[in-house]
Amino acid sequence: MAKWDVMRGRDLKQILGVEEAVVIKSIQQGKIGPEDLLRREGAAEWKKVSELRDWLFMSPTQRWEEEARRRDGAAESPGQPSDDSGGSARRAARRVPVSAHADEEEEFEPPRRNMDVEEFDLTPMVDMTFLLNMFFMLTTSYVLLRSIDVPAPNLSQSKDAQASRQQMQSLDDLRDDFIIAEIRPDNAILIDEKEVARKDLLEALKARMRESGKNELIVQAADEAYHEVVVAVLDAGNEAGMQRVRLATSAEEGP
Amino acid sequence: MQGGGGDPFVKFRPHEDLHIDFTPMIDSMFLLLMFNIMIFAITGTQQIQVPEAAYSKGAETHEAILFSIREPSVPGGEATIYEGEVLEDKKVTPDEVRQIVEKAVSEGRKKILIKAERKVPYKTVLEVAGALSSIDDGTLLLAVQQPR
Repeated sequence: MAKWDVMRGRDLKQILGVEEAVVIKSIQQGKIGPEDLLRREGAAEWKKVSELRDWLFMSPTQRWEEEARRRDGAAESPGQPSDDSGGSARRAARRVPVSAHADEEEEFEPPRRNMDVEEFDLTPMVDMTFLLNMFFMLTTSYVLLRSIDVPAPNLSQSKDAQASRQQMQSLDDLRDDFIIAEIRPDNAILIDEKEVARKDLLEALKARMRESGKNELIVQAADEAYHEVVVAVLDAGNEAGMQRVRLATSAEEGP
Repeated sequence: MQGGGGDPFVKFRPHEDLHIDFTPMIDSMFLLLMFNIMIFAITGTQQIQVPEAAYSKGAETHEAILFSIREPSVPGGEATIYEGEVLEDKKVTPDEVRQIVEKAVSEGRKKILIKAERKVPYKTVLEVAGALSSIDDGTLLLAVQQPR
């Protein structure tokens, strides 16, 4: 039960910490008049009893409803003053005399909208999420793996190796129909036996296609040649517009 | 009494209820974080520096048998072949490559994706690619990346 400070209007005598039930009873008995002053215990502002009378005589439920109504009204039309005359009439209609049920109603504490709820402080978690996101964004490289298709080379390792070897052709046999790109162990590139710098590879292939009228490429690389050079030649062949690009292999000496 | 029957000692300040709702932003941040973590897990294993090529297409990693090849630690040394991504327990020999490919071919997969580092000797690439020799319509895919 709340306590109130009471100040008599005529001589400003103060009585502090009076039980609310006592205040209400004193108002009913006329011991506290409408010109006397009241404040919540410890509060700074005094108010006249005449202003507080309606409030004091409400049950806790009515007080809560009124508070909610006042808040909703302010939220819907915060600029408009509330119609106090209608409100007073409604309050009068709802007002119930302080009775034996008052204590019972006092025990009922409806959930308050404005009550202090202990909330989790999410700030550190949000900070950490931001930091983690920044870390991942800065460190992750979104490299999409791509590939180039090449027909599988025939290494004459099949069961029918002998037959396979017989089907093999030497590079010299193929020179009439194909442009031959050779890669030496030192990664030097030869296009139809003519050495070409890697940066000039594309232009050299295009020129050779124009000169010879051939549009198929065979890449013959030494075992020690770097994979990246082989890929560079294959890529240049594709870029130059070769219809077919194939990998050649050396035939192993069989029994 | 002014403004209805609210507690006259509690000044009602409407602006107390006004605040920015950060919930959607936090939700978005969490989604972004989950995406980043998953992408990081996928690309985090990619330790192979593959050659660059302009004319390429997206690698069909789910259809092909993937082998990774790391370049020799010393010039002239032997390159290391891995089944799948580069993991210590996934090292394989050329003979094992052939067995793996034969098993995969029996399951209907006829593509080999070779993810080789730039300075891997061509011989090693051929050793892996040679596993496809016995397959009629086998396809060799060489992993590359777009030029920067």
